[in-house]
Amino acid sequence: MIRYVGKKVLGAAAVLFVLSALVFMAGRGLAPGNPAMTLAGPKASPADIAAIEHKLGLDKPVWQQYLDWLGNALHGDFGVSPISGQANIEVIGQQAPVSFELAVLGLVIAVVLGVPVGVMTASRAGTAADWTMRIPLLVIFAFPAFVSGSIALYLATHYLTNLYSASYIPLSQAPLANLQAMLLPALAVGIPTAPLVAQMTRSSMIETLAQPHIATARTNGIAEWRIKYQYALRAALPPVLTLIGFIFGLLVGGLFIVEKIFSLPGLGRGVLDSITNRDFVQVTGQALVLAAAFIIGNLIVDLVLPLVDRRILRR
Amino acid sequence: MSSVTAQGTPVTRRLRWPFRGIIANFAILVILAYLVLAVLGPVLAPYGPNDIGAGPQLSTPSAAHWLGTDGLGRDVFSRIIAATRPALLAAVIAVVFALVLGTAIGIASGFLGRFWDSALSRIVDLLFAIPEYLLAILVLAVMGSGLVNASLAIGLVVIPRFARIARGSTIEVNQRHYIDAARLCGRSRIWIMRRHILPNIASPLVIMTAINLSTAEAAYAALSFLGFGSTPPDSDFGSMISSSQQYFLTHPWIVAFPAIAFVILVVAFNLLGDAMRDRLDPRSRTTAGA
Repeated sequence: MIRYVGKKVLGAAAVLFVLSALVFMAGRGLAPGNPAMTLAGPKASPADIAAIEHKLGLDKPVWQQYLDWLGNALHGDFGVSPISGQANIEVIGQQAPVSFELAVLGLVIAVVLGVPVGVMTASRAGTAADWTMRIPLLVIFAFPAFVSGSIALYLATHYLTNLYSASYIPLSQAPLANLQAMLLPALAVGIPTAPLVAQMTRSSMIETLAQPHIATARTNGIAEWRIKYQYALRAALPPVLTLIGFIFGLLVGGLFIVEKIFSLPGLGRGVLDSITNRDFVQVTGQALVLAAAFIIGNLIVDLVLPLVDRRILRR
Repeated sequence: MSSVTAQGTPVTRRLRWPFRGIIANFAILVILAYLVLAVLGPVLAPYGPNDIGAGPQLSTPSAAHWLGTDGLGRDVFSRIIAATRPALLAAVIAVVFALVLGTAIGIASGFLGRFWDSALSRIVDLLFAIPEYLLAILVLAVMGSGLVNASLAIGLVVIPRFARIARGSTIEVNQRHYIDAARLCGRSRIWIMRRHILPNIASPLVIMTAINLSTAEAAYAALSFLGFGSTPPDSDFGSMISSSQQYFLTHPWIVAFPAIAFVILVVAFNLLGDAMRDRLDPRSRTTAGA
């Protein structure tokens, strides 16, 4: 058990380390030709430019810039944006909770919709009921987040005006008003993801339902819903959980798009804005936090997995 | 008797149309129709896709403008036709790029084993561990947006899927006796990889290719929606939808028609992928179409 946990944690840390280098390089690649010169403006003297370079640490070798940046980032200091003048950590502190809430709500919606549909279609595999449930799912899955998001926004502003409020309010200030602003974006994130969850659950359930212990349970007269949701689902879940990293990936992709459509002040939109503004300091912090959340999410799944299926520890 | 006639001569067997079922064939028909639009688009479109003021601004669908006009008076129908070309190109570039590189990586790590396997597998695992859209967006932030760059960024993100499949299948094939035989004959490793491994792992790779065409298609539209696709004013499904967002609440068709055209294409690619899998994957036949 300790070996397993240690291996997973070390692996995640290694990925995060390499990723931080990639993010840093991307940030430097994004920086305008000579950032200090651009920031100083056209009339600046060479001394001014050198001063700015020194202030941003650009006069040091790149590897040292990276190590400085990483060291500061580990202390929660992501630098100050030379373009907006804002401390990066403050910006991230405002944006991260929005994205986090959106992703969690989206995941909950995807699971609550996807798992039962997967179970229901699995036990009716090949029948007309199976197809009537699956075809709409196939179509929904083909609707990317930017289409379903647009539809959700249209419905929200036309028909569900009571349900939706366009202005974002932090959860801590007014939970109900916050939910009002987040519910539809969360649906736009979750609904395109649900068919994938359903599909995974379905194929895993079909395999499980064919196992002898399910037949034994049936001959013992155990209620069908209990066989499906208690016995079979538990055995069918681990393969679904291992693919959840895939779902996290979809969720992150959904964040970029849904935050843009609904004008939510989250990390996804933050990264895009930083890229537009060529804010190479801010984008590194935002991208790193986003990627770290993704990796930590996957790590949590890896650590929870043995609780559902103890055989994993023996591998 | 019937079994003899059913087998037929080798030649007729090879030429038989591979897809059965109405749905799969319909999907192929749809994709062919889009291909025709992509190739002959400029001839078939009633207006130039970038003609500003081809009609009145924001007009409803009519005989002159079948699908209406957008905020700049451009013909939506013509723009949709023009969007099919970058859409198909992006999917093909991305998937071919990932197929070639992913297969090379996968075969190398599965066949060479040892150091190569652990080194290449680490890289693949790492690529897998980064959120796909974040990676693609960061790559595009550095390289600059555009059709080719966006397609390559998508391809890069999809490489691990091909590499994993290729590696697994290679390890399986590598245990066969004919590989040992080839080795004993003194064939080089390159020769074995090319002549024995590659043809024998082709079918899972073809399935992956078909499935990922729809993924790449959707990813390109999403990236172009976020502004990383082909440069304006050229039309893309994604950018058509994002640039018309402001009119969506009052003139929904400007968004709805490109969205419908795009969704039909993605569904067709999806169904094609499923059909390929049913056709080539021996396992999927036993599990009641799972």
